[in-house]
Amino acid sequence: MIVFVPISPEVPKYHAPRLWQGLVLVLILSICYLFTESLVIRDSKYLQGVYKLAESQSRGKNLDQYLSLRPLLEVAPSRSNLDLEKLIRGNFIHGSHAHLALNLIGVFAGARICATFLPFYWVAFLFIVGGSIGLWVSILLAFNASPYIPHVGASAGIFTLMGAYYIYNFRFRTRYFYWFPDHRGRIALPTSWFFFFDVLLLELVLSAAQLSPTKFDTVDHVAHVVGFLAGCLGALALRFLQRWPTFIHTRAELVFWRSMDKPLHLDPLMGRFARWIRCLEINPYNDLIKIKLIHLVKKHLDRFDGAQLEMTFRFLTPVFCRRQPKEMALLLKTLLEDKRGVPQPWLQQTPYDVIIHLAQKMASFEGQTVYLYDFLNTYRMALPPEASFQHKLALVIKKVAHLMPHSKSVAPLPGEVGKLRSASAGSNHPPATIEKEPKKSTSGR
Amino acid sequence: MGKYFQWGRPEKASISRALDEAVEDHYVDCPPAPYPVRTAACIADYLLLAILISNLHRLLAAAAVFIGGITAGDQHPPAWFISLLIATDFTVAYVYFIWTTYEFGGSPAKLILNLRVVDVRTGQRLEIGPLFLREWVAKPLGFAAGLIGFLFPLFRTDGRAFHDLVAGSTVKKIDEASR
Repeated sequence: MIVFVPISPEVPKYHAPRLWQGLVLVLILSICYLFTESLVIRDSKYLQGVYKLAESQSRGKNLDQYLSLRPLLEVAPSRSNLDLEKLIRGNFIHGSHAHLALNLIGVFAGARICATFLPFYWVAFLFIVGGSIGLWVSILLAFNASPYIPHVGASAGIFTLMGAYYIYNFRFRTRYFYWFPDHRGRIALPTSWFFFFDVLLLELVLSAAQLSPTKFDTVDHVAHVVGFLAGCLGALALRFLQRWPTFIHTRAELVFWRSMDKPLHLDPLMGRFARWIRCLEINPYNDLIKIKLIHLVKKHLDRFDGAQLEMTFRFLTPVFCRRQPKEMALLLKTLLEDKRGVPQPWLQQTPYDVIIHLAQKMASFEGQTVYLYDFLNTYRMALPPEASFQHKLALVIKKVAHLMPHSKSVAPLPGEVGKLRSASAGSNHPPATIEKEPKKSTSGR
Repeated sequence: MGKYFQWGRPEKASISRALDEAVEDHYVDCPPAPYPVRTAACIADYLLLAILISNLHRLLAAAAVFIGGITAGDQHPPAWFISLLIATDFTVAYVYFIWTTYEFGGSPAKLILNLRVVDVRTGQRLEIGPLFLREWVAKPLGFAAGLIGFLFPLFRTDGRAFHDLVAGSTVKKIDEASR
């Protein structure tokens, strides 16, 4: 969490979380600290006195008796003094300036990343309820420690917000800030595993160590883990209440989805198509909707014209192709199988490595290599002849053609044959064209 | 353009292999990783490894106390426990640097930052032998020589560090398509 700081879900700029939710919670925590600061200082001085006394006298004797008189226990929860009011207050009390500063950063980040999915009142509700549950369970499990140790701090609530975010953004990606000079320090990584690794894995290890008789630090890791789990459960309950479909990413999409009382088109199929397209216009980062769109197009390919296919392919960006190569490869195979061309603008804009990646996926389909060959050839024909990787592509196609059950030949580009032959004469590379000229281009299959 | 190898062994030639070669060829053509990004990946890797190892030590210590093998706060733990910690460190370091690079083409931070460690001539992923040489022989040597081995990329046009030269590897920044 320190090296890779989660800053927002991967959404377009206009859906990115605003600052004010986090700032309001920061303000509340700061004001609460001002109110309790004198008590915390008094408690700290008292505690120093108790330790000096314990060192000067026989060790451990009557220590609990002295600790039971700690000033902080008037307002903070402990195992000996547990009630709901103190549990809630515990979320707003901090032991030092450093403790407060770290939690202010955390609460700001937590409230901010949740704001894309939840209104502020739900964020505040989850923070208080999840934080209190975290503190409560941690107090109950702290059977190895003195019953007069207060459990305070907003960190359980912060982890609750992280847990809620984890559920809401589970199938999507998170943008991280990572302190290094590349891509302005921004990187998007899958929430499902990386967020878990970044935020919770270490806490799980440390909380397991916390339950053992040896103590390593004064941080309440159990409260963090329980807070995170409470956040996950709270988010699941909220999603159920909100009737939030699994493929919807942002609140804007949810509002649009709910407002769809009337169909967008008289034909139900076209209505569905228009709905998915509209959703993608609202949030072009939603890969789940792209997959739904691909399934729809694949299933009813004969019902869609070239313009609609082009509209679909507009959203199938290189990043999506990298992340969902199987879906893309199946769509391309279906298009080639039905002798429908792959939209030219998409081919022209897709980088070479993405095409090879998709070709690798297509090669894994049993007995479908003919479409792979067609796909590579179509791509080659769509490229301008001066593209730097034309020669490489021609060689790949040649290899594929050799390895196919019924060998094919590589279609040369207009006016390219002589150029390629002369180029190959002076190099170790074989000519890109096979001796036998093709009768016609295969791109129109 | 990279060196494109024709398939020379018919028994192994397949469409998948031809496409793998195309990917490897693409890696050869990719630009060397910029030095700041390599440094960033290196720092992140060692930071993550340190966090991983220190917390594994804590967990093992807690487990050992729990099963009664050592006592809490023991300043001189028994030899078996120290051996266990050392074995754990080596295993974690092996998995973190060598296995991940062998299997995926880079350590975790390198993969996250879109860097790949590949053979300088063929663009293929490195075998275990060169990886051992790179990670556990050349890197410590480069470090022991006052980090000079890690500063090589600043003075070389191909951006290769001392450990890259020893292992015949290079670190490439692979293309990252935008949305």
